[in-house]
Amino acid sequence: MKAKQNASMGSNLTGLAASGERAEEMQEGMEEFPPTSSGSTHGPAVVRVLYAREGGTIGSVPPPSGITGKAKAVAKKLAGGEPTLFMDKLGERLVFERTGTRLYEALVSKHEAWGTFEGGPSRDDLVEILNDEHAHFMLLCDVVEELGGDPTAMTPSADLAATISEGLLKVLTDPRTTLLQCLEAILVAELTDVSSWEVLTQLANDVGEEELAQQFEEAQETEEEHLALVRNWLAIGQGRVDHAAE
Amino acid sequence: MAIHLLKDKGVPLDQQTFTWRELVQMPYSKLDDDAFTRVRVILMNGIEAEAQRFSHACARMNKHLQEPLARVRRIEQHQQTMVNWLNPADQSPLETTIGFEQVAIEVTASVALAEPDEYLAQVYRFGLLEDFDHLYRYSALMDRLEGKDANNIVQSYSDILPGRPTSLEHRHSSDDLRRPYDRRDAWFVSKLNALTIMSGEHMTHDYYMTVGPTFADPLARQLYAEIASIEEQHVTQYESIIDPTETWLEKWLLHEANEAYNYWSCVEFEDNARIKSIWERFLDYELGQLQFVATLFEEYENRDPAEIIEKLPRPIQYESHREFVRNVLAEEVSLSANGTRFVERLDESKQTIAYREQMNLDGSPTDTVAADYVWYPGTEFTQFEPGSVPLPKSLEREEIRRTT
Repeated sequence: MKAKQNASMGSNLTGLAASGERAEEMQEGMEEFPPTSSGSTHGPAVVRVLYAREGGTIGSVPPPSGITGKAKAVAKKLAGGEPTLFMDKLGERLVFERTGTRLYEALVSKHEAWGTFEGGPSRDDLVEILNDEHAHFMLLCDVVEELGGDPTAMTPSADLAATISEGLLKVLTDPRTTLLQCLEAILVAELTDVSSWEVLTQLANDVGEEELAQQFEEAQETEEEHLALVRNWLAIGQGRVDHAAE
Repeated sequence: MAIHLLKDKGVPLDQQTFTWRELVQMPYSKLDDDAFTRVRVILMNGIEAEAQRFSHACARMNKHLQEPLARVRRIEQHQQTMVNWLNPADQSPLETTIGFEQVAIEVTASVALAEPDEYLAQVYRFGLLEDFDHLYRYSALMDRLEGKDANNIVQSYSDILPGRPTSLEHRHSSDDLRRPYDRRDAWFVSKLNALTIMSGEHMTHDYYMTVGPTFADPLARQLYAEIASIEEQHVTQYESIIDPTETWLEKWLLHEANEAYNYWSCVEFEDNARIKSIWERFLDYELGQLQFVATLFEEYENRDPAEIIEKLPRPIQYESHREFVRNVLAEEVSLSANGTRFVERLDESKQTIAYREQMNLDGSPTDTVAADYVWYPGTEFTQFEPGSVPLPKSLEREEIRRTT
């Protein structure tokens, strides 16, 4: 199946130009009926600050469930620093990679439904990345457990990452979006992946976990490869680069 | 804390005031608060929604009550707002849905255990096994769509296991009606139980009808469509156990008593001090509203409210009912209903069989989403070797097995 992957020109009604006289009439009303509430235009900011100062939190990182040798070593090195940050960020990456695997599953469905485009990803390309994401998830389950953490817990950063990526899932699972449109969502996920593995590598180095840092660096390299692939597919799909030149 | 519904005066109506700022409080923490705090918030939103629903219906049928109904209803509108707005924004609609099903399991189990009328207890156990299955189906959706673990929400208080398969819960409308209790000799607790569960289920139905279309995934949209239909069946079932010959004022009095009973149950179990203070405040408000309605009851019906309002039963038990639910599952999963009777599936009515076949003609979304699904801690992905997610070569040949 070879479907058109970029949007077509059609009867979009959202802009003023599509409304003709209605738009002019509407704007005349603005002069006749001025605002009835006066004061600062910063109302939303004032209210946000008021609530933020109440001191609510999204939640906390659970305490270690078991103290392993490695956990003790890490805890010692983190003393005086931010002892929960490492666990929080490990938890974040863990759930993001798990959700990422589901995102790629949705992308494989999209591939099946819409087909690809010349120079676009093959099914095998997508399945390979999907399995990389799953392998990263499993790696993090092991690491969190080794450090005495609970890989089934949702840490605050994990929760926020899920909130941030809600839109990605919506784009990927909407039956009306094309493979190419979905690659835009995947681009956001891959950009986050690269940046987040970089953070984990740095944190592992900070606590002297060189072996871990190396594993994380390898994961980061894999994500950089994913990112390069996605960027290239998007560029080809949008006609920004010539497929033949690739 | 002992409560006497008719003697405790609570807060008079004219002192039941709010500001917009007050209505919008800091929400509970999805991560740190106990799952039962969420359960209570979800249920009490449903209890207040029922207060609104009843009040509007009553006003449409009773000109002489319109003014007092409007007065109390405005307060209840704001009570519902303050309670419902305690749900945090980082709790996704699907996570809140899991919370709704946990309410339906644990609160219905508590009610079933407290219900002295054997037929009504059976009604609750019957509905319980259906909502139990919904939790499992939605958990499968959460795992397979979002890669998230529903146990982050239920906190191991409730099992994530198949119950009565949802695809088999579809019954003809006439097989969802039950026998009502008799207002003249029913236990007071039976009346409170019926109102509580009907309110919770009605809110569940309305919630699914609201959030269902906010999902992009077509299977998620189908799943909400299918389960919302069962929730409609449940509302039909639970409202039919309430004696329809109760007078409007009798029903209003019972609604206020039930609201007070429910806030009191929340007070008894809440361990979040800030939220507990909201339950305490609203318990006092409800006692004030009950006093107000009791006066109207005396005035218009020339009857003593004590004929209706008795001593409070023990509070709703906000705790895990795992053992009870598993026993019900083992013994009653194969039940269906024929008219007002509970029967084995072999004895279902022809209309139910025909209706179910029609609705499931293109397959059942609840079967599709949970095909071979087993909940594992940390999602089903933990069961695969790293980097070995099994995927079919093509979906062309995929068939979804139907539950029979």
